[in-house]
Amino acid sequence: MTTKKVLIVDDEERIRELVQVCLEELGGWATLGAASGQEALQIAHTESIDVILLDVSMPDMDGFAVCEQLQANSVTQSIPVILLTAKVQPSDRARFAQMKIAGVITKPFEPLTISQNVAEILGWGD
Amino acid sequence: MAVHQDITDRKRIEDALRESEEKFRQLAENIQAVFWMTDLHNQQVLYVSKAYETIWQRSCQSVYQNFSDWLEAIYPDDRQRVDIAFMEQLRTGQSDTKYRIIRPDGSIRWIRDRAFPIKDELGEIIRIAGIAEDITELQKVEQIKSEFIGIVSHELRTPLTAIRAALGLLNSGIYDNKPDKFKRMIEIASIDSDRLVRLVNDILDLERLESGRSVLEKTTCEAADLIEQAVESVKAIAKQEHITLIQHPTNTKVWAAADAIIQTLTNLLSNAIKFSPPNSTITLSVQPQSDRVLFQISDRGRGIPADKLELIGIPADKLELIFGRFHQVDASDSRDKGGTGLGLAICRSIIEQHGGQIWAQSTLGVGSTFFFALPLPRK
Repeated sequence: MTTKKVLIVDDEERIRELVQVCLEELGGWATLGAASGQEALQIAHTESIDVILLDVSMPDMDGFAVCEQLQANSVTQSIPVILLTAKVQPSDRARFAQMKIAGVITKPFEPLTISQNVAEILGWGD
Repeated sequence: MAVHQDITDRKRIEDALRESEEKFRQLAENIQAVFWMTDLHNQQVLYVSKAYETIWQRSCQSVYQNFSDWLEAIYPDDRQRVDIAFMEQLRTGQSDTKYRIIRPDGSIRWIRDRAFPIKDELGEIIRIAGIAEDITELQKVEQIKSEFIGIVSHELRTPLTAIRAALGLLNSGIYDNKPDKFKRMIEIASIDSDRLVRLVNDILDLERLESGRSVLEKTTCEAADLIEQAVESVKAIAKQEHITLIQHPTNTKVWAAADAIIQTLTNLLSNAIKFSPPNSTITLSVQPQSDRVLFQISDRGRGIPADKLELIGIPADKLELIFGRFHQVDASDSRDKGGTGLGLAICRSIIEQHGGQIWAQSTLGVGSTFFFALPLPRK
């Protein structure tokens, strides 16, 4: 079985770095990082991605816009998306419920279990 | 004799009653709240004060004649709430409800409506009386407060995410034998702790400024001095980013709280530096004008989109723009560059307390200029 490839989208460099470490070292997966929505869409089109971990609050193009773009394209619409976000208010949750996403992980996330959380959301068995 | 006394007494009582009614009427007619009275089963409005015409923008007459007029003005989503209040009143004579109304001109107001029972000698409720107040401004403040808390919660979570992850990884032991990676985790935790400190300080600064607790003591200052001090504090970063600072000061005096204006200039300069490409220049100038002193900071950064630009220039009595959308102008753009996202909000608050204005012009891909104007010293 080939190892999973995760695309991490977050404008914060250190958070990207940390998520990548958690998923690589503790989850055993391969990761790619994107600092913006634009970059994320490019990578999603050219690489074979198993799941996208997507931040919501990003300048220029936010997570909502990225999701829309992913859905609008036949190449990318089947890639599962998990939001990784600091937006936790009821109004935010309501908005997330309207989106075609696999799940939401809130920040600050638990570093030692995030890869498990991702696997659980996506039903990736052991 | 007895008859005369009777008549005098009666007249005195009547006069006293009339005087008392007159006092009540004056009070009711002049206060900005609506006094009202209905019969127990709310079929008939017995009294509604003049303020109804100001707040509801409908005539008192319309309520006396047709109670359903009043019901129809209630915002549909809130209608259920009002129905529940009526049931409360039937039971206890009391209720305390907030609901929205739609006025003939389409505007919406929040109302707080409190009802009290009026009982007869047997303790039976015979009437309901109440006060209805327009609490729209209060609701706005509540909404701003909760928006602010939402934004603060969001902004605090970001550095905490990095700190928690870095320390969690260290704690797990995976880097016990990898000193370089170990060090990197500590570095990250350290950088984001600093950021958290700056954020907390900015939040408190902003809150103090906005609440009026921070009174800025103004004196006559040399504009050139203020600029010099601000430049000093950002010199190192500018050098690091290979950005040249050019000053065009003039010998102008200004009426200002020196520290606060230096903080403003430093904030604006830091922003300019953050968004300027390497080897570009930032220009600072001061121009005395007839009734004010104009400060200008120009950069050759990527520019600010028009919809965000106009938020900067809007008068700051719109609190929601300070804490809400305005904050979003700065937050997502400057966060990744180590800013707290509250810098511009703080600048605005300071300038406002000087009776000045702050605004910006920008061309995408070319650069931006931030302006603020301060009053001249008093003669």
